[in-house]
Amino acid sequence: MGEFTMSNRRTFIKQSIFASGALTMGALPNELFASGELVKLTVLHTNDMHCHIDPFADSNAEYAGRGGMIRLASLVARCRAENPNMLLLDAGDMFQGTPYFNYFKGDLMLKIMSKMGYDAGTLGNHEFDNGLGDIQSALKCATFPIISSNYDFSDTILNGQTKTHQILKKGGLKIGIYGLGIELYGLVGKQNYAETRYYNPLETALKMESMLKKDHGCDLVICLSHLGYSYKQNKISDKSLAPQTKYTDLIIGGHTHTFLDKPLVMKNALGKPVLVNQAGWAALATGMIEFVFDRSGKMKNPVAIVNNL
Amino acid sequence: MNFISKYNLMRRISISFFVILFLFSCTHHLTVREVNTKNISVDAQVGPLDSLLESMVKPYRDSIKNDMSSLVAVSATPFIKGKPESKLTNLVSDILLNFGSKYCKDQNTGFKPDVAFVNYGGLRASLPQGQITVEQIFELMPFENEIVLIKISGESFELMADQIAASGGEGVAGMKLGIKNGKVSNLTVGGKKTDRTATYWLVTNDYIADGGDQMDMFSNPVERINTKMKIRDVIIQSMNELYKKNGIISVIEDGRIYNEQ
Repeated sequence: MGEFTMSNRRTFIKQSIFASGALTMGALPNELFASGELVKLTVLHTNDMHCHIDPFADSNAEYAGRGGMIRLASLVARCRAENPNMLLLDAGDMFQGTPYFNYFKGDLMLKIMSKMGYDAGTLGNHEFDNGLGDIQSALKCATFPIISSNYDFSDTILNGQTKTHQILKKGGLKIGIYGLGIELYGLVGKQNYAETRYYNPLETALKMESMLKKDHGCDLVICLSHLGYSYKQNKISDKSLAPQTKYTDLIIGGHTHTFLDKPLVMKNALGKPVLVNQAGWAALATGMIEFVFDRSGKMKNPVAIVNNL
Repeated sequence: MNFISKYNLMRRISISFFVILFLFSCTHHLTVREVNTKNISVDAQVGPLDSLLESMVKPYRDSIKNDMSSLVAVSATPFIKGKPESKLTNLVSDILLNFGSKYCKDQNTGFKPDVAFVNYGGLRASLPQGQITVEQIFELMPFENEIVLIKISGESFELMADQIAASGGEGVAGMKLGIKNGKVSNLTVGGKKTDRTATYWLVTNDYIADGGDQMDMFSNPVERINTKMKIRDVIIQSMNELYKKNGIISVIEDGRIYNEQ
């Protein structure tokens, strides 16, 4: 899986947004959507935004004038206007990285994300930088849920303020979301996570996905993960988790600041496809994934494969 | 369209439209029949800045801008970090030791700290020659870490010196350390040889006092005082006071850590 290069990133933009004149990627005949036989869900996602609210300064050696939530927001607004069934999700490390955080803590970040219309997020390790008290204060500024399935805050001041999972409904679809955080021990000072208990990410994932798919009948199961894309050493990552899952359709990752040209498609434990994606950091990129559902359930084969080739 | 440009066009389109056909054998009501994906680079080509968000952020940005551009001090030379000692590590270490002494006096603790320790990796940027603004101190010290005082045994003190020698140098004040082949060749505190049976008061940050950077010898101190003062705030305040009192700031390398051949 190659890393994004500058040139092919530009190609992406020109070809997929401007040359086509729209943010939609729809390839199937419009009448099937009109008749309600097909329904489309668009997922936009970010990770590791690290308080990069503004684009990088023009003096920045690597990212001059690029990234930033204020720029991302215009893309999000356009995408939402064109795709009524849209989800905007984040995979953690919203905090720490610019003086906005030093001055306004996580509060400003979560106010902005709420304004942008985020549907859900999860916790990265840097959310803990100033302790649980600051997470608590920031969460009060959020109008969307923070989902964390493997941090147990029962014995902390955060008790009851995060969700272990969430089911969102869009266009008659049920989308189940769970969140996985990275082991805090050794990464974050003990006083900053206090009595937070950590549960095994794989065991948690298997429990959550099964509950969301089988008990709640979700049409799509999404994991928001801050485990990291992959590691050389034997450490759990999105890439090592995906093949062990059964019902997760998409893992939206973070932590390793990985730029991917396109999502990785892996086979899960049942031999079914599971997508793994990550969108760099600092709002320098966003992932856009469009799922087309067949409501009739009759068609065994796709009606059309149109990819402009 | 010649062959090459046609080929390029097709290649580019194939990058931009990545279509996966999913046929989930699905016992549930809905089936995913197709997935389209693309990862979009967020740059000027995605369009203008969002005006709603911009108007929301502007007051915050403006309030920071004023603070960020305010002058802390004027320096005679750039302060750049280096080993075994450097102007930058000496500057910050001296600030910590002076702050510790003042804190102890104000709080009537009945002792004065002996040394200061600043982890080399925690200093994230150099300071320029000339005007130093608050923004540059944020770049130097982005972390919210606080200054702590710890009382450690002479034995722990020597273990610390061993580790400094092994790493080639760190930020220190109040002590003198000679290094030969990565080992301690000379060690004095306040001009006197260290005593393994004595105790020493050290000024450092909470990250280090909690055993960060493999400084395990600090994890179980004899005593610990949390000053609740952020290092960054102390640096800003100290440099500003120094500048107002003495004018342009200069720092020397005084051989507090040196290599012996």
